[in-house]
Amino acid sequence: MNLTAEPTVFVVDDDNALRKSLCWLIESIGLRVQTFASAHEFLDAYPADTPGCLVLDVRMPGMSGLDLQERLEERRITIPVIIITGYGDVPMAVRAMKAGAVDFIEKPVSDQMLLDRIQQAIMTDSMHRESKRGKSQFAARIELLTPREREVMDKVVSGLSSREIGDELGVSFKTVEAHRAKIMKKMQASSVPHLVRMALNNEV
Amino acid sequence: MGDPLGSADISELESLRLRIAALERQNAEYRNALAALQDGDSLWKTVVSNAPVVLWALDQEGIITLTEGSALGILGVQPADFLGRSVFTIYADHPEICDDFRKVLAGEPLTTHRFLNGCWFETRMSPLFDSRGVVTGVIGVSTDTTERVRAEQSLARSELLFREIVQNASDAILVVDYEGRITFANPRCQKLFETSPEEMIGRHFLEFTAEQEQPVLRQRFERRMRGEEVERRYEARLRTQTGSLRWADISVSLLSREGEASTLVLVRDITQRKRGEAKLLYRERFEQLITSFSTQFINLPLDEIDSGLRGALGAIGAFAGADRSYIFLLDETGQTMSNTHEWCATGVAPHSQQLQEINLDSIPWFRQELFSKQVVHVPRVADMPPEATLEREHFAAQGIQSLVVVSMLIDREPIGCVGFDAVRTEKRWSQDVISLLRIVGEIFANALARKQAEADLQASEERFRRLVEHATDAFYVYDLEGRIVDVNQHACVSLLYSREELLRMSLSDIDATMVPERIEEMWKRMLPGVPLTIDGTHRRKDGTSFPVEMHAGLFSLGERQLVLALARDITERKRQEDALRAARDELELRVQERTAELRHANAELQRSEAKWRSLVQNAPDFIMTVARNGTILFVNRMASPLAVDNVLGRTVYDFAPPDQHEGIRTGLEQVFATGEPHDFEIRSVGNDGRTSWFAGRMGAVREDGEVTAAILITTDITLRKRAEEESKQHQADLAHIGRLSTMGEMAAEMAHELNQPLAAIANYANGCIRRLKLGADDAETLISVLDEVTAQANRASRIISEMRDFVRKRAVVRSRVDINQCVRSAISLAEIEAKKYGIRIHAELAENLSRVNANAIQIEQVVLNLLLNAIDATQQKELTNAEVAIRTELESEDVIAVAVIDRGRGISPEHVERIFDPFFTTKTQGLGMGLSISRSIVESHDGRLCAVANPAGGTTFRFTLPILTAGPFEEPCNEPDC
Repeated sequence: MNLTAEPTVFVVDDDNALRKSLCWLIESIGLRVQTFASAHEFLDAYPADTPGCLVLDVRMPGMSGLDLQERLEERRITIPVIIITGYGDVPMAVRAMKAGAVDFIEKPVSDQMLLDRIQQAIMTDSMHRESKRGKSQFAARIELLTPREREVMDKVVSGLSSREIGDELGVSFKTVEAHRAKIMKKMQASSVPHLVRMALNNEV
Repeated sequence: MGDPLGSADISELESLRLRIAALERQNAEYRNALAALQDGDSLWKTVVSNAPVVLWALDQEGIITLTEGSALGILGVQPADFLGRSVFTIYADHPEICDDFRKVLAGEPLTTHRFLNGCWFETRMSPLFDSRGVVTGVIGVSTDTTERVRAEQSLARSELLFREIVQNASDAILVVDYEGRITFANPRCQKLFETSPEEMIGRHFLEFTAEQEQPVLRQRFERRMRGEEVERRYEARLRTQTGSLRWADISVSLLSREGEASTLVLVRDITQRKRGEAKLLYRERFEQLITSFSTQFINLPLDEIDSGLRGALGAIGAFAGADRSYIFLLDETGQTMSNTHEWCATGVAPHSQQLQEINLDSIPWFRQELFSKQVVHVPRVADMPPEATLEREHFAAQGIQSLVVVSMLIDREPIGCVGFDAVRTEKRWSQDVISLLRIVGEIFANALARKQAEADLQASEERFRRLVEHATDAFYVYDLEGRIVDVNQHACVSLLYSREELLRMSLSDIDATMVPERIEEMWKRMLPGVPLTIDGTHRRKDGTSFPVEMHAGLFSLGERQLVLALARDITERKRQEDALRAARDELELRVQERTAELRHANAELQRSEAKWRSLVQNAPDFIMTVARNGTILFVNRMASPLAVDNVLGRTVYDFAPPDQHEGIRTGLEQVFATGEPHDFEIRSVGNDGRTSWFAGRMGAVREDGEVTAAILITTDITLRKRAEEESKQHQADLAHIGRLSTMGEMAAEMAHELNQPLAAIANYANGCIRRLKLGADDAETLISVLDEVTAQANRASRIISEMRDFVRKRAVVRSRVDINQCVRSAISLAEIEAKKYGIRIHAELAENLSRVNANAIQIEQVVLNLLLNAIDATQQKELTNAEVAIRTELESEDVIAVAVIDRGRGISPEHVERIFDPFFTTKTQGLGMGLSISRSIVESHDGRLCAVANPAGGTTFRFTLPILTAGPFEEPCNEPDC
């Protein structure tokens, strides 16, 4: 997961002028932009797992925007998609949204709105990534626990004291304490609330 | 006979002796005469005058005073020639004679012997004295002694010669007196009698003769001495001083010597000759033996050969002085040898019994010697070399002292050997004997071989006889008249006659076809060694007959000429032949029928082929067959100036553009590999730069299930492609126009088109503002962006003006339009789509429809739109035999209707009215403008467009157009399909 990478806005539009102007516009708020003249080009060039979002004209020769959405799903490319359309109709919009588009904007597009939407999308994207990362990180850490430790952790997270846990599990207080220490270390939790938060956020 | 010289000597001696005797008598007479002369006067004169002498006298001066005598006459001289003359004068040339006279005149009586004038004279001269003793004269008598001298000389010479002869004679010469004692022996006697001649003198001749001879010789001698006629020439054996015997040839003659009878004996040593004679005799006997054996064994009957061999062994054994003679024979393997025949001299033990099956390996030296040198000669068994130890022991054990063995060969292969043993004493056999053995061995070998051959022949004959007798064919022997001489068992069985019966019959009795003339002709044709094949029919005793094939040949048995015939019953064969013939006829018939069928089929095929050929030749498409590597095997025709002939043999790759080669190659591979046909399209650019398109199908040509070539049927689709392109363009145009035909649509279109540049301008501008707000001061970048803004603004205005132009240009143009034509154009465009889905467009266009005042393109567009919808609806339904129909008809006298019917998915009742609304679509794609535009167009033509659901499924869209125009023609028609 490419955390360190800067989020990039990918712009796909067959109209030369529009593409360039969008690029110009988006760059003016300091975002990185990559432009493609067709969906194919984008698919060929998209560096896997790059954070950012995709701005897409729905009506393109070759693969249409909606088709591209389907492709992205196939490839499990999860960056958010903003669809721009010259003329839209309800069915199309529904389809686009169902396919996972974040936004569906009609031309002419207000620059402010577009930029806001883009930033939102980026944020959403990074949150997702974060969450995913967190989840996988969490999952990796959980793996490190022994079954007993797992048991203990669950009880800790549900708010039981060490003594209570010892009673329930039929082990000594000291044993529980030892486990807890191990758990905190393995889960890299700084405090119990931290641990609880981790567990809640990353419901595995 | 003695030698010629000897006999000549004796006769000459005889005559000499006689002559000597005569001369002596003569001499005696002379002496008497001379005595008488000295006694009387007158006597001497008479005598003198008659005596062949010359009486003469000289005075003291030497003057001849007297000459008398008949000798004068002999001399041919007259007394007067000498009287009164001085001897010194007469004989002046002869000083020695003068000297004689002087001597006598000096008082010395003299007897001289002088040669004078070719005569010899003996002269006795006496001086005459007077009383005082003074020589008064000479008186002399000269006798012509020429003859005598000559005789004496001759005698002397003869005697010398005789002596020489005698001394040097190669024969011994003896003189034996009347008592038989040797009085003379020549030097040769030394050699002959081995003693010196001197030593022989006085001894009796019989001492030197062989004892056995003496009685006969003695008798002979006595008889000769008695004067009887006895053999003068004979052979006798003599004995030398040392006691060895010699053969001599003796020649005897009587000599009379001083009144005594002597015998002259000439002795020649003929010992050598005698020996030679003995040898010759030996040789004769040798040859005799050989000759007799040769003749004997050639003709010897086989059963007598063995006894003959034994006899022969005896003869040669005896001849060679052997103690035993024998024959050994090798067995078939050549490994052992047996003593098969033997002869022993009396007193010698036979050995043959023990000497059977001797293994040659046990006598290796003997074997080696015999087979490499062909002879083994051992004069002394004890002296045999060390490598022959085994053999030496064998021989010694058998008591053999010497032996000689010679190998017997047939065709250079040894079959055995023949040899002699010496048992009693050692014997060294001469080369002669060995030769004898060899020759005899050959004769024996031949005889033995002959015996073997005969035996073999007999065995073979016996086999043959049995063969013939039990043969599975009938054998007959005929004489030249056809009489049966002999038959075998099978003949009797096949004819049911007994052997005896058959031997009484002849060929014509058993074969009716064999009439005498035929028999004679057959026999004539027969040559010895060349068999004849004859067909006949034999008749059995019971009257039945059967066909035969006879093979007959001529042969001689002794002096008779006979025919040997083999008769084979060919009943079965004949039957088979007939069956075969019938089958063959049947077959021929079938073949003929078949041939007729084939000919017919072939004709059909040719007709069919001609049909196909004509088809291929005249097909508009290019048909070619191509090999796997692309070589063009056949092409029906060519488009361009290239002749067909120039093309065959070249490859397709020569004619296709390089970028198509891969495709062609792949296609060919596929066809050859799978045999499945597939379609292809090829684009080629001609020399003129124009692009041509070809579509075709590549299929497999099979022969016996194998794909041997690919067949390409190619159509030039350039025009079609162009048409397609055009229609696409056309369609695009139509679509385009469709959208533009109403103001609303145009606006929408324009709006969209304008959106792009405007949005771009907005983005660029906003971008600049933001940057500037953030403090960007890169004027260059900003300026270039602003330039871009300008460009987009220009683009926008260009779009607007284009729109305007377009719309202006495409002002509605109306003309007298043939609806059917529009329909057809629309169909041809729609067909592209229809074909894609396998949908057929069925057109039913009414004929002779009046024209309508309309915009052809627009009407076309409407029809196209309806057709495309129909196709779309039908395609969704996925029907088999899907079909869309279009119909034009005259609805009323001034209204034309066009209907498009599909059996597609149909329109649900709630949508039926809404479908003509703009932006309404049940399709997933498209704007839903088509039907509303279409309706607009139709209504603008004062027509109506409506849709009805078909009871059987699908929809019918129908529009009408009035024939009579609502407005005038505005512009002349520009469209080509007006």
